[in-house]
Amino acid sequence: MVLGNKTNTLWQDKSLAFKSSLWLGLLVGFMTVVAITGYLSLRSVRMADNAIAISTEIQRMVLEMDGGMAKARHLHAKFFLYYPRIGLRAAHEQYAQPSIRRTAEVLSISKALKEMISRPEVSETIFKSRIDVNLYLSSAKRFADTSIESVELVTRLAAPEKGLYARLNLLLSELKIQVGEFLALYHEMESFVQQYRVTHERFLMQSAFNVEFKLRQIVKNSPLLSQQRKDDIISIMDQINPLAKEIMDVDVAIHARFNDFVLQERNAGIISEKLVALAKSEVQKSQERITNTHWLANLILMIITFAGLIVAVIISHLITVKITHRILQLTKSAESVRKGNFELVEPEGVNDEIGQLNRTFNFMALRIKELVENLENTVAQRNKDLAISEKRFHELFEHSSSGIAIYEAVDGGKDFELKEINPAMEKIQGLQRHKVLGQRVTRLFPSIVEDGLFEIFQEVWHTGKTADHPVGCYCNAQVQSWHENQIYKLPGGDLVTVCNDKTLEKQAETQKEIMEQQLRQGRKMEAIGRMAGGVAHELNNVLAPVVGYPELLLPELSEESDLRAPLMSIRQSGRRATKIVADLLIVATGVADTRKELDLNTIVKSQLDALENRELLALHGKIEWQMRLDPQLLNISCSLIHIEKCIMNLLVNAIDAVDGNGRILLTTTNCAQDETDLLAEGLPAGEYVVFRISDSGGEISANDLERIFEPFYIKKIMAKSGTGLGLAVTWNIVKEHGGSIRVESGPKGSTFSLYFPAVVKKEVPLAENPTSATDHLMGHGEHILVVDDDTQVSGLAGNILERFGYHAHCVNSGEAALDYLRENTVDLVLLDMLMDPGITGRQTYEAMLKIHPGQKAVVASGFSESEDIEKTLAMGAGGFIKKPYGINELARIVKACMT
Amino acid sequence: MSSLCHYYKNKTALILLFFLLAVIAWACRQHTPKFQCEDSLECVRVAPGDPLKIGVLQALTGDVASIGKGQIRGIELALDDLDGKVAGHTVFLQIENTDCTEEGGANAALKILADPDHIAILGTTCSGAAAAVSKAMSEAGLTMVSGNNSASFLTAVSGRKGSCWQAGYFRTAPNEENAGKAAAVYAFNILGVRKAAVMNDGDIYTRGLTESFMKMFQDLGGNVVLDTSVNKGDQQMQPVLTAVLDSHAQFLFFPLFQPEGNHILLQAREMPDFENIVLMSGGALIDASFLEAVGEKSKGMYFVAPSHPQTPAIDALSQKYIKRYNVPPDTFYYVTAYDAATLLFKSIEKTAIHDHQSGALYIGRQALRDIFYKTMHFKGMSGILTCDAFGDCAQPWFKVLRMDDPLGGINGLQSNVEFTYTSMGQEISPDGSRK
Repeated sequence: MVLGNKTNTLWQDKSLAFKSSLWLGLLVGFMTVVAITGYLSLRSVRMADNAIAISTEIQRMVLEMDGGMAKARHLHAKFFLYYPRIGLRAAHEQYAQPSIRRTAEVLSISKALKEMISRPEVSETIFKSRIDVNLYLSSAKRFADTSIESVELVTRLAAPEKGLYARLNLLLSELKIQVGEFLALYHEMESFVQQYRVTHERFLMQSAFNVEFKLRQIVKNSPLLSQQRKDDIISIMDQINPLAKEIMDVDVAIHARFNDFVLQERNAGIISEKLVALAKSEVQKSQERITNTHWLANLILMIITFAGLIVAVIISHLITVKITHRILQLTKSAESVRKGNFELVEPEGVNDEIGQLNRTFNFMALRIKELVENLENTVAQRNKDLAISEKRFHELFEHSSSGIAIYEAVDGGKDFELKEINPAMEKIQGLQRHKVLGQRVTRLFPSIVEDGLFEIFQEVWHTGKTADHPVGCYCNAQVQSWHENQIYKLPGGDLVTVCNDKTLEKQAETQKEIMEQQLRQGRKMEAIGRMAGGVAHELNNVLAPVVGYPELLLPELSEESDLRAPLMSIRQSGRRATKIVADLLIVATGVADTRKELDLNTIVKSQLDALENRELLALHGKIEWQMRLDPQLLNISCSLIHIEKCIMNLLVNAIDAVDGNGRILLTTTNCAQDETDLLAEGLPAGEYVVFRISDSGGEISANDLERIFEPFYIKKIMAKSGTGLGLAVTWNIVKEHGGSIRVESGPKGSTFSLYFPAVVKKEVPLAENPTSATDHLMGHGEHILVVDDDTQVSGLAGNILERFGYHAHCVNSGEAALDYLRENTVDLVLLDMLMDPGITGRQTYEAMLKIHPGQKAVVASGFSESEDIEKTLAMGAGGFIKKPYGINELARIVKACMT
Repeated sequence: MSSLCHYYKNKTALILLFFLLAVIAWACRQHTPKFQCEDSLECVRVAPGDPLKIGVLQALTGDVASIGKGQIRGIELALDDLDGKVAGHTVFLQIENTDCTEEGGANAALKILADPDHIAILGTTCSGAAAAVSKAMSEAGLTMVSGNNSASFLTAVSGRKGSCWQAGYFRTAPNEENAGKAAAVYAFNILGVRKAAVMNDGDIYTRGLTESFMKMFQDLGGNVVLDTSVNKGDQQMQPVLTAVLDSHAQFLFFPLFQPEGNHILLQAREMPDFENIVLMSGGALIDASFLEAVGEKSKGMYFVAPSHPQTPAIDALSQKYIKRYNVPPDTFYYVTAYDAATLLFKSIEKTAIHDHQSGALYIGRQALRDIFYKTMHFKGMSGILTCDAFGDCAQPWFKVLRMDDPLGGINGLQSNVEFTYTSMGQEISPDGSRK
């Protein structure tokens, strides 16, 4: 089974060329076998025919020889039979000589037969019979010899006159004459001799000799006979005796020849019979061979014909099934492929050429199918992509920020007709598509000729080279915008105009310029602030005793004391100086106060109702005050004090602007995020609360507007306000609150708009007014360490704290404070942030916490660095107080931190 | 298409390569010269697997058939001792009957000589047949060895070539010229006979014996009063016996074969006048069949025959004979036939040339004869064999036997040796002493 499978696999793997060659080779082999069979058959038949011919000839020759020999023997026998009757000579002529001639003919035939048998084409069996032919030939020769010898012997015996018998008869006749009275013995002897002649029995002759011996004895002893006669008789008998012996010898010889003939005849007979039988057998064998050859040839031819038919059928099958059918199948599959039906050829598992072709075809069909499918998919995908692309391009066309218009040249390029525009173009140009399509460009945009765009149109249409038209302003009644055009020519001849709206860019450039201006302003303000801060820090330390000591001394003085007025003046000056310093600090460092969510309307109203402002309003009674507060105003997160300061500053500024006679309008409103104004102010989008104060004063010049927020810029104003820092402080406070200030000034007056980021509105009560009572601020002997590099400040702080019932210990550096704390404990540390030389307040507090973790502290600073203060507060410091501080302010925060 | 062309190109290349290799192989084949026979009488070619062909001519009919059969059996025993093979080939014995006559021998010889593949002839039984056979054999270039021929004419008479001598003729039976001499010496010297009659049958064997007898007897001073003959086949022996009586012979030497010898003895015993005539025959009648035929009538009869040794080897051979043929040997001549065959087979083996190319065996006819002529001191069963230039290989050593007890058979007769005669002519008395 495995072998069969292997053979089948091996056969399947062979090529058609091999199979065809094999089968055709087999067919050729069969034809060759047919030819060989035919040749061998003809050769065999020819050999058989030759053998038959030779055998027939041999048979004929043998029979002829045999007949010849028989005739020769017959003649020879007649010679012996008739020579006594017809005479020796006649017998010679009639029988002996013909017998010899016959024998010679037989010898000649036997020699020819011998030569024939020695021929190479005779069969092996016939060839072996050459021995018998040799024997026959020898026998024939011997017959000839013995025949001649026997004739000679007979001649010697029976020849007339000289023959032995003749001579014996003569001697007997002479003896008869001589014996006379002994004639009886003679007759007896002569009788034996005659009997011998008939019978050839030796004992008869011997008997004759015995009688002759008696006769001889009688004659010798007979007195009747003369001696001469006796001698004559003895002499005759002496001649008769050897003659008779010779006759007997000749007879024996003749007898031997006869025996020889018998043996020869026996030999020859056997041989001839054998040769004839052999020849017959050969003929029969040859005939059988012919028959067998014929039968075998027919059988082989039938088998080969049958096998050839099978091979032919196989070849036909091979051609029909293995080639034609498969090629038709392949053609059918190819036709199916041609029709788009990718029908594969049935896999055969055959590795011949068609099998390989089938596999190649299948591979090709699969490949084509795959390619077609891929192509279809690709086409579908491409169509899809195209649709998407078209959609994309359509969307691009439709949604492009650039306006696109397609024009068709008319009148040989003298004008152009609008064929298509996209929405962007509609928007940019302020057109409606359905109205403008089909219109000529010169009619649609009359200014196009003037601004040179039409000339570019014609140039592009003629040259095909893309051309740009620079940004230009297109202003008309409906639209005022900035455009940039690029014109190129499509392969179809249409012109395309890509129009980019540069209006926003232009606005952005404008805004950028504003912002850059603001940035420059900011940097300038920052620089001024840093300078003011430094001054304020130094002034704070200077002003602390100026403000503090009058407050300490005035309660000690009586109402009538002369020192009270100077001390109050000192205190008043100190407070003004403190305000100036505070404004400087605001300008320099911003707002470092806690913020609360408040209602700006409430602050405005509260500020207008404040005593200080009432007095101010009363002072400028001719001024028309108007107030429009938005009841839906959103809250803002702000430092109340600073917002109040802003309102105050702007009120003062407005009062100064109207110069005591004019109109001042206070408004609050919400501002939406997308308002262009906000963007122009550089604010992020969102809800804003806007506070505006407008006056009907004079127009502020552009140069002044540019520098209006610089500290101490306008002398006149500053002189009126008293500080020259009002707008600068306001600008800084608004900026600190994430807002912006916008100043608009014209002939009709100026408007300051303050933008604050809005928060969700909730009711926030205004801060309680500070009470004058200080009892609740009193301490109970707690130990407070005052750390400040300015001994005056630390001394003042120590005095205040002692006043409120605390035990204060003052040191003038961070290192001294740490040394003190290593040996003592305090309930609170009042810690200055900036100390020189030595470590800062923040560093000191860090070291304190290592010595006494959880150490309570209040941070004090005249020029606070927000980062250090924030970090110190984050480490655990309970509060912050700005220098210069009042006594109640200090007592309040110390009390708060203690609890 | 290309693969097809490629396929046929490969196939053509293979066929061309095959023919190229065949041509190279043919060109490089070893050339071995064909065997050339240089024998003056040509060679007998024995193809591989073919048997050696030996003609066996013996008297297989008539009263001497027993001797002829004994000869064949001796040959067969010799072949048996060689395991049936000579020079690696089996031996085919073509046995033909000579009928113990010259013409029978001649015609039998024709059958042998007709086949040129015959190497040699073993035979004949009778010397008369041998005379005709040897002539044809010699002319055909064969070698002939007889274990039974004893006629002196076939080889040598008185040291000279016999009248029937033929080149290539050999015999292991002794030349019976000395048998006639032995008989004459015994008759004249031992028996004191002075008148003797001899009787032959015309055969050269009997004539050889009677002539050698007459010559020796006359040389001794005796008178051969009758030299007569009978014909083979004669039955009426009274006339010739009467002639013996008429001759007044004291001694009748009749070395005839059966049945003529039988008739002579029996009819002589019927004739009262023969009581005083000593009868002596030759070895041809030393045969069980003769003794069986004549019975008591053989009592007192003398025989002259070759002297055969009695050796253990001969006893063993006799046992083989009995074992194979279930009968005891009729005569001693199967031993000399054994020697003749053995000598021939050994000589063939010495002569044979093996052609290694064809595998065939070549036997030179003259070479075979030469081997025979050069045979000396071959140790045969019957004695040491040395072949002389005339073909006599056996040592002539004859004895005169007298039948005293016919019931003792051949063995009794053989043991009753009255006289022994050697080739040197010396007479040895029965007791072994020389006279």
